[in-house]
Amino acid sequence: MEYIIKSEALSFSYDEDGNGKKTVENLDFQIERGSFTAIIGHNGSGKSTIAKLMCGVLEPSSGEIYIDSKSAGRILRVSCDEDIFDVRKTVGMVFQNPDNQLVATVVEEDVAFAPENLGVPSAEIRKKVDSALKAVGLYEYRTHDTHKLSGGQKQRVAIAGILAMSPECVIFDESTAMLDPRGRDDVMKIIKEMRDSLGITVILITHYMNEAALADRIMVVNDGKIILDGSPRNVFEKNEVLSECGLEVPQSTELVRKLYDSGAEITKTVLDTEEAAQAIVDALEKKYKK
Amino acid sequence: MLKDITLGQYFPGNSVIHKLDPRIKIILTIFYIVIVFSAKSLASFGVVAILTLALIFVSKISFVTILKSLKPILFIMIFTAVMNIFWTSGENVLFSFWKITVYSEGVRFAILMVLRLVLLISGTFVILTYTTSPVALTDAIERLTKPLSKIGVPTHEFAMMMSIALRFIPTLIEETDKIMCAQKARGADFETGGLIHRAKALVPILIPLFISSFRRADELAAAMECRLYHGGDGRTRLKVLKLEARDYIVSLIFIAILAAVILVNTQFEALI
Repeated sequence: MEYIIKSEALSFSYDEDGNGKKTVENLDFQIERGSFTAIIGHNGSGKSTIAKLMCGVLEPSSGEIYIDSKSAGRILRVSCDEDIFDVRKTVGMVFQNPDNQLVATVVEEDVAFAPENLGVPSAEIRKKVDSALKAVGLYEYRTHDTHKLSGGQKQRVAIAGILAMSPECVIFDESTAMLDPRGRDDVMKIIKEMRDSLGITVILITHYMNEAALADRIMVVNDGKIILDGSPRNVFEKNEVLSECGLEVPQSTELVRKLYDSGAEITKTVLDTEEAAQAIVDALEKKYKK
Repeated sequence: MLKDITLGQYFPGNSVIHKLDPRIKIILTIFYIVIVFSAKSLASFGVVAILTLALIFVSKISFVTILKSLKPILFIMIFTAVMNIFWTSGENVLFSFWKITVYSEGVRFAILMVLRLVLLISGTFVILTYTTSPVALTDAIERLTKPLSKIGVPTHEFAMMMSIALRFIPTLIEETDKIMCAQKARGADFETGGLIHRAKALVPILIPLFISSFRRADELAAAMECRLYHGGDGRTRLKVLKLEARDYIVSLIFIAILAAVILVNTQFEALI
C-alpha cells in the first residue's frame, strides 16, 4: 500500500507546556494515496484537531506526520519548519464555515488566491482558476460577488480555491455541516468527483453517518484515540461501540440491524436506504418461498 | 434592513471612465484637483466646467446623483459664499446697507469659490468614487505605493487589510442584523428612549459582534495559511493592470486642459 499521510506516535495538546489533557494521543495511522477516508467522532473527540495537524495548521506536541509529496518529490515532515509550505501545498483543507475562508469579494479572485501566493504567472493562474471553477460547476459565476452566493455555492468556491492549488490530498473539516440538504448533496457530489476523476486523496471529517458511508474507509475517533477503523460495513456492524461514543448509525442501518437482532433472516449490516430495502425484500422472499 | 447599505458609492457601469486603469484614475484625480485650483477667472472656470460636464456625460452618471453628492457640502458652500460676499473689500461698491458694504469683487469671488467647491466635489466623485470599485481602488493603491515598500512601509499588508475589511463588511452587516433580531426576540428595545439610552442598547449587539469577529479572524487566518499565504513577497496576480491607449488619451486630455486653464487665466483675465 502506498501511503500519502502517515502518522507516528502523534500527540497534541492545546496547553502550551504539553502537560495538560491531550486532545490527540499517540496516534498511528496511514492514509492510502487516492483513497476516500472518513473520520467520524462526536464533538470534542479530536477529529478536527487531527485534520489541522495533517495539513500543517497545528504543530504536533510530539510524534510526527509524514507526507509523501509527489510535487515536492520527497517525504515531508509536518513539524519541520522548512517543509511546512510544501505540506500545505500538498494537503489542502476546506473548513466548516464558508464565510470565514473566502478572501476576496469576487469569485474568480478568491479562487486565484492560492496560485497568486505560489507566484504562478498570470496566464497560468487564469487557466488554473478556470479549470477549478469548471470542476465545481461555478464557471458562469466567476465574476459574481462572493457574499451574494448561497452557502453551498460559497463552499464550492472554497473547494475551487483549494483545487486551484493542485493539491494531492484535500481534507474537508465538517465542510457540509452549515449547508442546507441541497448544498450538502452538491458538495458531496464534487468530493466524490474529485477522488474519481482527479485522483485526489480525500479525507472527510464529519458527523453525518450517511456521508461517512460513502467512503472506502471510516476511522472512528473518541477522546483523541482511534477506536474503530475499517470499511463502512465493518464499522457500522459494531453499532454498540458507536453508540458508546455518542454516534448513531444511519436509520436504515439501524432498522435492518434491529430486524437481524430480533431473529429475522436478514443481512446484518447495510449502508443506505436502497440496500436496506433490498435486504428486506430478499428476506421476505426467502421466508415465503420456503 | 441593514442589507440595503451600499458599499462606498460605486455605480457599476461600462463607460470609458469605468474602464480606465484605477492607478491612472488616482493620478488623474490629483491632477484634476490641481486644475481646479489653478483656475483663477470665470473664463478658466468655464473650461474646467466643460471638462467636468464632459466627464459626467461620458460616465453616464445621472445629474441627480451628482446633485445629491453636493448636498452634504451645501452648508459649507453657503458659508463660503456669505463670508466672501461680506468680508471681501474692493473698489466698486455694489450697495451699502447700514454697516455692511458689498463690493462687486466680493460677489465675483464668492461665485468663483462656490464654483470651485462644486467642480471639486462633482469632478473627483465622477472620476474616482462613483466609477471605481473599492477592490480596484485597493489594488491601485497597493501598486502605486509599491515603491514605498523598499523603505520598509508595509504597503502590501495595508492593501490586504483593506481588501479583507471590504470583503467582510457585508458578512458583518448580516451578522449584526441577526444579532439584533435575536436580541429583539428577547425583548431588547433599540428604537425608543433618549440618545444615551439607545447607545446603551447597542452594547449587547457590539459585544457578540466583536467576539464573533475575532473568531472569524482566527479561522480566516488558518484558511489563508492553508492557501499558502506568506505575505507579499513573490506574489503574482490574476489580473495584471496594463495601461491601454485610452489611459494615455485621457491623460493627454487632462494635460491639455491644464494648459488651457493656465492660458485662459493669463490671456482673458482682463475680459471678466
